[in-house]
Amino acid sequence: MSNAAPVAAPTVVARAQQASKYYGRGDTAVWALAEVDVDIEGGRYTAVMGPSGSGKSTLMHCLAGLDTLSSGRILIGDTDLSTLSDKELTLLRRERIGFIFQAYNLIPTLTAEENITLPTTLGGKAADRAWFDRVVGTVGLGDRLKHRPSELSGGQQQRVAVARALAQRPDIIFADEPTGNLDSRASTEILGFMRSAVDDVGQTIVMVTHEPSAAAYADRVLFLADGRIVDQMEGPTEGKVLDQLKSLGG
Amino acid sequence: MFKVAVKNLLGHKFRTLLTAFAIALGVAFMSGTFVLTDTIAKTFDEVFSEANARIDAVVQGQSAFESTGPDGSAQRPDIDPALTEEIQGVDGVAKAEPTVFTIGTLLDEQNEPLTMGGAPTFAANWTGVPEIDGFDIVDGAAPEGPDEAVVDQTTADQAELSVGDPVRVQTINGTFDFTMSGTARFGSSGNLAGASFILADTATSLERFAVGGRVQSIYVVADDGVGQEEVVDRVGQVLPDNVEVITAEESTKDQQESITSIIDQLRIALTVFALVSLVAGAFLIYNTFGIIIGQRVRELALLRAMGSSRSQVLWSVIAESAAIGLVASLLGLLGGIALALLLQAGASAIGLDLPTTNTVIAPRTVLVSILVGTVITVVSSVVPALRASRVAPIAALREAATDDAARSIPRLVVGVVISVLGIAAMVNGSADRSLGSAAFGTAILFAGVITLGPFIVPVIAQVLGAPLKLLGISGTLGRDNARRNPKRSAGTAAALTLAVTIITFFAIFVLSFNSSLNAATDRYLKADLEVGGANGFSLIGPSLVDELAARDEVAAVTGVQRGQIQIDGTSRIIYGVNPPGVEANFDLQGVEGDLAAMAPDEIAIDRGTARIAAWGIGTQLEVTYPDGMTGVLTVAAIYSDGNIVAGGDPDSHYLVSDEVFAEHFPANSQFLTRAVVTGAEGVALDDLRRVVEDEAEAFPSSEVRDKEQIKDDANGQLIVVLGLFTVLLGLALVIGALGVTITLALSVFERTREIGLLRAVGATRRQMAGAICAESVVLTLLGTVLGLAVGIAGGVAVVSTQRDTIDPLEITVPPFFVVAVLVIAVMIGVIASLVPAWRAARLNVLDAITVE
Repeated sequence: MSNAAPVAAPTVVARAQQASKYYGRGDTAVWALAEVDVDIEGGRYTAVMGPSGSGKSTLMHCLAGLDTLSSGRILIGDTDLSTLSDKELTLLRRERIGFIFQAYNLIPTLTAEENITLPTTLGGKAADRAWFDRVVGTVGLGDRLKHRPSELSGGQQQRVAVARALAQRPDIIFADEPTGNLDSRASTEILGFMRSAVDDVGQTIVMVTHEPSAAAYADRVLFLADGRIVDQMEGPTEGKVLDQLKSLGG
Repeated sequence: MFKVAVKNLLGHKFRTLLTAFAIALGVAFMSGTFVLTDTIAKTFDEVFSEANARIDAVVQGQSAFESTGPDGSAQRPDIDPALTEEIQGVDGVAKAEPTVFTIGTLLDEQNEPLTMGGAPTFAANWTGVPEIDGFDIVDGAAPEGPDEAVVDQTTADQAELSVGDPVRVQTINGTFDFTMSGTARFGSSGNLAGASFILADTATSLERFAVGGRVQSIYVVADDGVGQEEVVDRVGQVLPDNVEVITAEESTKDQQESITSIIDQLRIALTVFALVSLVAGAFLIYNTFGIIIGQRVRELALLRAMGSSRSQVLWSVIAESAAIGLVASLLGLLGGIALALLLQAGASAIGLDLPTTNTVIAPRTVLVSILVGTVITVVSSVVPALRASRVAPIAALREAATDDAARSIPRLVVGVVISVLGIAAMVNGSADRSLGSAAFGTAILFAGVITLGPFIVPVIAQVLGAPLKLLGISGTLGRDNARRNPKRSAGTAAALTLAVTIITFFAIFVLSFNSSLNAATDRYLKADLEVGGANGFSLIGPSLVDELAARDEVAAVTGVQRGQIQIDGTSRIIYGVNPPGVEANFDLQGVEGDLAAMAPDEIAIDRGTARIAAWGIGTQLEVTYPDGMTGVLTVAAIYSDGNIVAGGDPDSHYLVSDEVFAEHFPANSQFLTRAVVTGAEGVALDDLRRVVEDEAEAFPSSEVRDKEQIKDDANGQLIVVLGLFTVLLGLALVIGALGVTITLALSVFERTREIGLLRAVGATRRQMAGAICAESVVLTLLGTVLGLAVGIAGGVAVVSTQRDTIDPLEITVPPFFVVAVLVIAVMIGVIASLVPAWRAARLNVLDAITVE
């Protein structure tokens, strides 16, 4: 693993140490993650790539506190997730982590606005109006706020999901194939919003994707295979990523 | 395809179990009712046949016309015991003994009645002839002379009496003291189906238990070799006109029939409640299958795409419901038998001995239970099954569309039309004073409201939204989830609506009746005090009236007797009163003629009866008395409303002099249902009460009450009635709650992805459970509010039809009742949500969000 010293040491927002996840025991054990060490640096956009079954989703789920490790640990800031109860994990997700899933991101009974403010509402707090307006303005949902998900297009629904993740100003946003269900125009839009969130306000984002074109938006790409980080790339382009994937596959 | 049905059942154990349970409850109620009533009937049958086993004929008064006495059998005249001698002289008669059989209450040391769980108490004679006395002495000796009596073993045990102890009994003639010479056991069971007995020798019984020295029957034992029919023929020769003789077998059958008719009424009433539970179960099945079909659209479409025919899909769903229905019915049948055994044990704890060897599980019970349970389940699933069969194969490839058919315009129109028809029938019934039409209208309105349910859901959810918002996001989510599928919510609430409608309807009816009664007491009861039975069962002898009348402190006293005579060819209920005091004690709201001077050959009638029959003062009415005598009663007075005399029963159309009762009625119709007393001028109520209590001491089973106490008593009985009713309908409520639980469980399953998302973005388990709980409360309140609305409308309509009969009519819709029902609904909502909420809270977040 390359370990080039950055110019100014950025803060580490999330960290996996010897993170392992396996199913079964002994020789028959299946390793989803095998002693992964990774630091997610603040204010950067990290993409996680790899073939199906490489462990990229498992890594993300464990980093996000949705899944637990078999051994090793995950830190969000200084908090060791393995020491948290279900309730503490829930509160951590609510306050410090944002999510964008591939689909079914929204609660069908709530309006776009209610979906965006959901984590805040769950915490029993009032939304920060100025920030909310800015986020909504950025993703261009101003006239759609009173609509329910069923009245929105797929692209609009994903924009609501991005707005929800941004609105709570989390330490880190995890995006799981956020453009997997979108056409290319909508994909470009969503990826653009995420990119600008990193550039404009220093949002930390980790995105699992299998599309090189999506990964090209990131600052850094981690490549996983067989539960291990096999390579990483700074300043990716679509072509470089594609080449790298080919070399991994071959 | 049948394999598919079975796999579906086994694959969803929780849902299958709850659905089956809902039906099983109703079936258990029904089979339990059958088993218990059959067992009671059999026990009584055995008791009666045992009682008559060793005699051959019964001589008794001939009932002059169709009537029902206070004990449920026909009103018969008493007979002269002197006939016994003549009967003994008949060739073929071995033995004949007069039998006294009257009501007598044992008293404890405080002079209070020893109540044995409400079972009747009897005073009878010990003839000393073993074939005729159904009892055998267990301890001590048979009673002899005026000081001795025996008590049945069960009662003696319960009262902890031993041989030689003093016993006191109150009969129509007053209070009498005896020494218990022994205890006796009836036949093999020891106890006559819970009834208490005190027995004295014949001479003593005639003096103290009988009225006018007359007896209820004469039992005859024939010589060996003389058959029952034969001895009846021979005895019949020597009897006067209004006395008959029947074989012991016939007598047994008569007794069995009179008790059977009471048990049949009990069975029918309980079966009605069981059916209400089963209908609630039908709603549940219908709704649950509807939801399941909706969730299985893709699977069904796939089956169709692979070549299943429509009818195969249809039959697989029906087979699934038939399997549930059959298993549930069997479980219900077993549960019902267990319930009956439990109640049987409970009955012997209160003195009604129902031997377990008598438990009757009739083939009818098994057949009806299984048939009704299965048929109701299958019928309820037909509509969902048809919908399943209409799933197009292409649906396998589509996203499941929401079922909007439930809120179609035709449904709205039909619902509105039905509701309007129902309301029209209710208004019309109220205007026409037609109780049937008002009740029918209520049923129609109920159907209309159920049809309109899906349209009402959003409205109610909106209204409840405000208070739910106080619960934060959980409340909002709960409200929104409750209204996202209005048809499902409405269907779920329907079973509760049914139960609450009936409870409310009945409550309005009973509460209104009670407050009307209390208002009548305030307005029309002029008397200061009432002497009545302590627990609705009065044992006051007519002598109390004379004793009270003799006291200076008393200005007017009226005893009220109730019985039947035949007027103008029809059997009528009449009330006996002593005429001079009536108007002082009761406000009859205007009397024509001279009621106070009414002679024994005169009658007073109410205005309504006079108008309908076109009778006036001076009209002569042909009557037949219970003793078979005929005569003419002349209308002496016409009064406006006599309900107050009857203590609220709207059947006081005829009043006669108490002398008519004394002369023509049997002993067991002589009891006063109550006596009322007005104090002389200047006598304080407390002083009057002391005087009345002093005289009433002769009948310790009575109670002296002022107006407030009369009303309190009525209120107390009301609460018992309402409580009993609510318990009987409680099962329908439980089934309604089960329906809510099932729907929520299915919804939680359906919304797994959504719940996972909520949990991922920070909903705690508590918040998740709260949302399910809020949804549940919205559903139960929806059902309850609709039930309250229909029940109140129906209750008011039905009660208002009585405005000519009941005066004053007070229609009561007490706020406390409405509030209590709503509070209970919220509690049911919370309880019903426990399991689904727990499941939702426990969902594994990762599994939930990754589910496809």
